[in-house]
Amino acid sequence: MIKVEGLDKYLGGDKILDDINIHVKKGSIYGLIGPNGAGKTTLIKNLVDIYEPDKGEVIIRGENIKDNTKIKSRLGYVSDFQYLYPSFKVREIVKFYKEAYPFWNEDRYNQLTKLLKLDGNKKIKYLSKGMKTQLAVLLTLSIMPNVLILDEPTSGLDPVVKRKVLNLIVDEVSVSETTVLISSHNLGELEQICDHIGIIHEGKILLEDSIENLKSNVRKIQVAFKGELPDDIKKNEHILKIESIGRIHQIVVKDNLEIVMEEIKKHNPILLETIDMSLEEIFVYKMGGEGYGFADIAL
Amino acid sequence: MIDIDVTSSTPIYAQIIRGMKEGILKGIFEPGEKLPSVRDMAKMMTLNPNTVQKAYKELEREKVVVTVRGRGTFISEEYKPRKDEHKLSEVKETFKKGIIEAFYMGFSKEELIDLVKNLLEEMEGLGRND
Repeated sequence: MIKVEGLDKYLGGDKILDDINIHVKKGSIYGLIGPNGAGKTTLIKNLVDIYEPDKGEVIIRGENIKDNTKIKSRLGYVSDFQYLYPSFKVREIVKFYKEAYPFWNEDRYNQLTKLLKLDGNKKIKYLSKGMKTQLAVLLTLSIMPNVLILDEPTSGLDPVVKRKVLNLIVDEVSVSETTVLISSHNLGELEQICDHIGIIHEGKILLEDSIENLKSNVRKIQVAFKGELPDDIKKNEHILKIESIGRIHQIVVKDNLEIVMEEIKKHNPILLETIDMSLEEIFVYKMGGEGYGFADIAL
Repeated sequence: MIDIDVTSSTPIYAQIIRGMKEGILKGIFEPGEKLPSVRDMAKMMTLNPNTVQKAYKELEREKVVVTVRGRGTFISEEYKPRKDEHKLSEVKETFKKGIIEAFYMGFSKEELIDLVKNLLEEMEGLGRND
């Protein structure tokens, strides 16, 4: 649905994006995660044709996005900052959207406004930050998008409003199978609604996978033996890392949990169990191997 | 309704499946009862609808629920729990953790067995009084 291939972007002489490749499937919620300054907003601006890539291309629904009004008429975009005319009333902004987007759905808009209790006569400048974000999201949902791109829509919102915004997105995906790309610097915020994630750091995509895959690929085992940790376990090729505290060893395994478990059982451990790992922890191990410390990525 | 721990390494869809089964066992969901639609469930718990869909499909495959076209998803009338190898080892692990805790608290073997019996009776009671 969204495909980016070999995208480079320079801003002010600096290379901000370096050979970006991402793939977002139809009906999927894709989380673009990275620290401040990683290039999230720059990438998103390329996706929605605000910036033009210096190399590579952005394909949405099978077509290049550049100057493509047909695709863009159903491309929903919520920017990180809401550029809505402050002296406009809410219903004047609505009029503006109606003019601009051919698939504008008034019923949808009215229904959503009721849900959020938004007063159409209020001026934009008197809306709170949370209200402005909600307005931007519901305006975008009312253009009947089939692709939705949201730049940090939850940053700076309180938990209640955040949940409201996320629920609007979740509902949109269930009803219309909209494809969503959503960015955040906070993995925990998106973990529950995303099925795929891409990690961006210093202008590069470090990792792109489904959350389910990530969770099942890397596992942690806790094991203890009467004596020392046997040598052939230490040398096992499927083990990413071993941390020992006294006689307890925590072993991080990649892909082949069963094989390692069988191997360990041969040495009669006095304790053997798999323990939970958070997605954040999983990243540490996956990234650790590529020379990125967790602190660098600071999710 | 169902406890979801997003940070756990158990995938969310698997947590939904476990939660539903627990709900049936406790009598929160009764045979023939209609489940919330994927859309409602996703909204209620702020989860990805694809994840909820996946859990529902798996529950259907395991014959825990049945989907009637145009009417919705229902708890199966003839759901018979069966002992599947893979699940059995999971159950064993769960018990083991509990047993270790209990021994540390100074439970004897007999007291532990009594405890399990009481818990079982409690759960059966819940199912009936519902």
